[in-house]
Amino acid sequence: MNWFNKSGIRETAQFRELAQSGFRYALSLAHHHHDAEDLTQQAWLKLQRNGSGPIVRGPLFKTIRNLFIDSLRRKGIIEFESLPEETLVAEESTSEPGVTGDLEYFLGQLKTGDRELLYLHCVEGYTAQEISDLIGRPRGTILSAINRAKAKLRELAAKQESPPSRPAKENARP
Amino acid sequence: MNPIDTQIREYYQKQTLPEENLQAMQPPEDTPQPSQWPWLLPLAAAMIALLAIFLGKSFSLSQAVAAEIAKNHTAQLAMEISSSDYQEVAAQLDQIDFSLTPPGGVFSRQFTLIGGRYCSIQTELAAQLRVRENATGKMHTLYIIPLTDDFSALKETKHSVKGVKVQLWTEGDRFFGLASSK
Repeated sequence: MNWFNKSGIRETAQFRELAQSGFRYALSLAHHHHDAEDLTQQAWLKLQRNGSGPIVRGPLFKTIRNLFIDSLRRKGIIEFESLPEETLVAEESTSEPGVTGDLEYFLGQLKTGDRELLYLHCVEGYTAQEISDLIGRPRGTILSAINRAKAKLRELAAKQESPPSRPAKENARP
Repeated sequence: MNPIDTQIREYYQKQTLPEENLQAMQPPEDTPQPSQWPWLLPLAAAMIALLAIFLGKSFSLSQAVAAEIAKNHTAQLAMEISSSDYQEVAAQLDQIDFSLTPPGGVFSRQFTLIGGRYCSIQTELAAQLRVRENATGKMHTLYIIPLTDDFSALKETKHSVKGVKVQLWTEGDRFFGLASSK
């Protein structure tokens, strides 16, 4: 099946939506526009080469994730793989305030795995169980990490940490 | 939804993959590929035509045989040899060079031979045997024909021709037809 068959306006829209989702997921991992673009494109082309059917969300995310982990390994970075086992913590209240300040900067201060969880949970709407199935960690650990990451964002915002001499276009394409 | 969830969602939704990347990910348009087997279509058509001819021929031959058997059965011509012994009838019909033993299975128990005569089916010399159904006393006509190439192509079939039921089948090197008035 070709996403771009001639009668496929719907397929084209689906392709764009899925490609953008893949890119945003890659961005949640890499927190770098150019790297996220590369990851998305590599994953997409890999799936196109390997598979005979249409590209769907689950395999796309897994491929992006695997490519990202490979790139970390090549660079000798292992931080991403260590998601600590923690006990389940209570869901936070919906009355908790948001954050003020540079959210992009605050997200950049989080661990990669925590940022990934926030993306999957807040943007993709995955449940803790679905995230657990995707990345192979216990559901309780997922919930705990999500809440911890949000707490960290609030903490950063509360401190009103302004980006210290942050490069002007850190996340822009070179 | 939690405000921070909304902020995170809005942040990521503002991030988009550039159009040039989308274009690069776009597979080429489907183009009609020349068939790997260009000879396949005419070959398939020829095979279908041959099959139709073969089946049509078989069907028409089967119908013709059934019609001829029904006509002979209805004529009720007198038997040249009257006997209940197949061997004796076979000995009298000495122009016939194939076996006149009855069909296999329960035929011999269900039917008793009355007599026989020469006949021809589709120009083939055949034996026409009159038999009586033991259970009902009803008279039937059994035809035994050597299995030529034409007859060997016929499947086991049942026909109804002008009030006569005709059953056709093959056993070994012989072709049989049994006609029964309804």
